[in-house]
This record gives sequence, C-alpha cells and structure tokens, in this order.
Amino acid sequence: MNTNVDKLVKMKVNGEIIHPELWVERNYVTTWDGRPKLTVGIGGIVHNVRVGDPVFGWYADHLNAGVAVSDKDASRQRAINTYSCVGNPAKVLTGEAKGTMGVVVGKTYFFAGRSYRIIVDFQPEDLAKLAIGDKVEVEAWGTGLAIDGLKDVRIFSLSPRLFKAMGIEESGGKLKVPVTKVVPGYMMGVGVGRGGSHMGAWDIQSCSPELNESMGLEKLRFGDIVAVTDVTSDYGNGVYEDGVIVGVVSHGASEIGGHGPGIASIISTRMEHIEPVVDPNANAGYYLGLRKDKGW
Amino acid sequence: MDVKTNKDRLVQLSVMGSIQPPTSSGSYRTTFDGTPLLVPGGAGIKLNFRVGDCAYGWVSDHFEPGVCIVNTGTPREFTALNAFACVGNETRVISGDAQGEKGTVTGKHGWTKTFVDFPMEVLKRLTIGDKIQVHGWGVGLATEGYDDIRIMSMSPQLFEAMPINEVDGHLEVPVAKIIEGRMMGSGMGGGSGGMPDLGDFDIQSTCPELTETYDLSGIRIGDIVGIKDMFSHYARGIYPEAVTIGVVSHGASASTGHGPGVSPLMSCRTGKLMPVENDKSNVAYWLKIRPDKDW
Repeated sequence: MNTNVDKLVKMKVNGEIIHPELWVERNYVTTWDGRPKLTVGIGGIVHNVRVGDPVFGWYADHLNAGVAVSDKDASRQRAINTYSCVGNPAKVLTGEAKGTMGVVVGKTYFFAGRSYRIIVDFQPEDLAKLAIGDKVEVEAWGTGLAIDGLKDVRIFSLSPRLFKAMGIEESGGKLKVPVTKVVPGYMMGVGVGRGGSHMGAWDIQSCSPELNESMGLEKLRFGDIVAVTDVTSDYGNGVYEDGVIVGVVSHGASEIGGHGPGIASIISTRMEHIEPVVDPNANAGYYLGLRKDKGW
Repeated sequence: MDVKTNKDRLVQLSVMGSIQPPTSSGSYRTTFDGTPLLVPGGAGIKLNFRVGDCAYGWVSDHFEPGVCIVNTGTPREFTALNAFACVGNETRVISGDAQGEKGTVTGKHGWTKTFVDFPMEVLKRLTIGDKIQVHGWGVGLATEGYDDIRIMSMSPQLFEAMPINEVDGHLEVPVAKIIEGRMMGSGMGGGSGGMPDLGDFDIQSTCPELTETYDLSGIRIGDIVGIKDMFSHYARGIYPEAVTIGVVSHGASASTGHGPGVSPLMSCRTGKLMPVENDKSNVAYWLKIRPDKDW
C-alpha cells in the first residue's frame, strides 16, 4: 500500500499548557437526570489518568487524560489543532521540564468555552515537573495523508507513525482497520454539525446508562481506536448512510445530556472502502508504545 | 481511619495562581458601630499570621493567613482554581527565588482566593506575583455507605489525617468548636455563586456579647468547626438538624454580618454526620505544618 507520506510537510507548531476550566463559571452543570455536578477534568495537567486507562469510572466530566495544550488566540489555536496529528512528537520548551518529550494522543473541543486543544501524553515522572503555562511544541506531520488509488478515503489528524503502527492492510480496494469497537452512528451527539471535522472531537453520547451497558461502552479506554457507522467526517460531522469513520477516543465520558467520550476522527469513507476489524489492542497508547506498564 | 473513600477514582490535576498583590480602596472601612477603620487585611504574604494562629484580636479585618493566591484568567479559570484546590493539597512554587518549594492549601475566601501555607524560611523568600501550582485532588470525594454526606474542598490527605470514625451508622468528625447556625453571616446563599465548593461564609464577629456568650474568640485559622442547623450541599443555608463541617479560613471582621470565614468541607441533613469536640482539631495540627506550635 503506497501513500504520499514523502510529500507531506513537517512543521513546528506550538502552544501552551492551558489552565483547567469549569463548564459554567461559578456554577455546576446539570446532568441529564437533573443533578448538579462539578465538572473536573477539562484542561490542565492530569496526573493519574493517561492514554490506555478506562474512560468511565472517574469523578470527572469530559476528562482529558494527559496534558491539554492550546493557545489563547483562536486562529493559532485552530492551526495547532489542525496540523497536530495523533502520534506526533511534542517537546516542552520552557520551565522545569524543558526538553522533555511527549506524544500527541488526542484532540478535543471544549464546547462551553468554544476552544480547541490537543492532548499530549507524558511519562509520570515528567508530568510532575510540568507547569501550567509551559510552552509545548509539536512536530506536526500528517495533514494531507492519502493512500494511492483510494481517493474516497479521507485521512486527517493521523500521523504517518500511527498509520504505520496500526498495520492497516488493503485488499481489493478495501482497508482493514483495527478498532476496539464499532459504534452505531445514532449514538453520536454533540459535535454533529460542527464544521472542521479535522479539529477537535465529537461525542459518543454516554447519557443513557442502559445504552452504555448494552453497547459495552464502559470498556472504552482513552486512546481506543473506534469505528462509527452511518456517519461521515469528510468535510464536517454528520449522518450518512453507509458512511463510516474511524476515530481516537480523546476525552472522557460525560453526564451532560448529548455528551460523552469524544473521538477525534482520523479516517472518513464509505463502507465499500473499509472493513473495521475488532482488535482489543487497537489503542493509540499501545501502538505508540506509551504504556509499557500495561499488559495490553 | 476505617472509613473507605473513593479517592482512587478522583482525578488529580494541576491548577495555578499567583500571589495576589494587596490592594486598597483608598478609603476607610466602616465598622458595625460606625468607626472608620484603616487596617491591612487581604492578599499578599503574611509572615506572622498563619494557619494555627488565632482568628481574633488582630489589628486587621478579614485577615488572610500565609500566602493568598488568585488566578487572573477568565472566570471559568479562576473558579476552577478555587473549586479544585482542596484543603490539604500540596502546592509547588513555579517561579521566583523559592521555585520548587512545597506548601499546603489551608482554605479559601470569596470565590477567587486560595490560601497556601509554607514553612517560615520559604515564606521569607516568596514575593508577590510568584506562581504557585496546586496539585488538585479531592473533587468528588465520597465515603462508602454515606451517600447523604457531601464532601467538598477536602483533600484525601486531610481526610485520612483526621480521625474520622464510623460509630453506630454515622461518621464522627473531630471539631475544635461547635457553632450555632444563627451566627453565620456573609456568604450565606449565593455569596459565592451559590457553590459551597468555592470560598467561605462568615461566623459573625460583630456582636461582642455573642462572641463572648459562645466563647468564639479563641477560634484559630485552620480550626475544623461544626455548624449546627446549616446545610451546605449545593449552597449554604439554614436547615434544622443539618450539620456543616468546615475549616476556618480567614480572620475576624468589624463589618456588620462578617467575621472569620469558614470553607465548608462536609454537609449532611440526615444525622449521619456528628461533630465531636476536640480542641486540637486544626488543619495545621492534623497535617503537621506548624511544628513550632505547642498543640
């Protein structure tokens, strides 16, 4: 399978570790069933949850596992978010952890604050040295990635490194893509209709405990590669018969109606071009060798 | 410590502020009896007023102990610092001469100010504007089997350092003082955006007779207190038989309706929470951050 990888531009983008935010200033959010909840886990440096860990089971909402990097300027923010691809290396430029390397593991969109952020994974000993405001630079590489002869397969936010590590195979014009789960499109919530499917994430709704259980969503981990059917992320996120997207779980579950684990789309095409193959190890953390402590 | 908590399911995340410069209105405060008052109070770095010291009797008003940090970002950001910083959390100095030194969160005020205590030799090296990062851990803390008790602003570190015991189906919590609900003033209701997770509310200290009647003048900063008939689940307000446990965060006041602030830590209205008097019950005592004091 040939790609255009040697024609893709490698360039640096940088942002800073952003401060955590409440969903609503000086107030709780109201959950789908009418409870007040303090939304902890959006932005900042998360010390005890990383790529590869379960998405459910934390006292949190929209948890970003790892470090959230963005920029206060909306235009620069979109550039960082567009050009950074899952699997790209990141380097700390300032502060006590200067020189420390991390890896981009997800992209999110903070709905209430209308801002995009990338999620970077660092090793635990390095996390302890990081500070909010530290500059983080990404060696962005992957925008425009395409497979020869498959012009109907849109790829974005996917680094050549992760693309290769996933071991995607092609036979007869059909890609075999490893995923931990195939989710029906009607589960998709907030993010449907938001333009710019190459930025941020859109949510698998987790506000129905019955559906979470019947679909086995509770087993989802940060970094899991999942497929969603009957949708498209070609040029925006929406419903599309026989469309299919593949995405990376980038933020945690939510109890807000219509919200849930966010997935950053990395592939968008039609069913005729893709065969999702269920593999329990289909996780960005596994492919990128970030969680040597886990048995996988 | 035999009470099981969900601390392993809580997110640990960093929040940050910087040491707030003291400010002045340029005018006097007017006391409850009409006296103009010119005294220092909020913000900055206090070298001789720290957690463990008496909240009453200073030539001051709303005196804030140790180091006061604020986040100068957006409302979503500065309320996140105040909401996620829990009493007993560890802090780290990020900039300035004392870079790398560790301190401890001791209380909160209003909805923007978070108080941090450092050892004296560190306090002397700190300066206004220094950045302080808090290792926030505690939001969502709950005790197994006690769904009726809401816990807020309390770190697992403090919860585990205190002898909180299960007795006959309720939790006994040591408190330095039990306070009548009628004494609570400013900060009731919506004073902090309605969220008891933010800031504090005040034990009114402007009626000298009541302060004497209830023997309040010995209350120290950092004291764990129990407030009767006070429900603080999602806002602070009167509720017969409810109990709020809190930590004294700032000093007394001569402004009507004001006084030493209490940041709520636990709240219950079904009799599952029982304050038990223990005059040593102070954050500095449980966390061993004032070894210079004779407890």
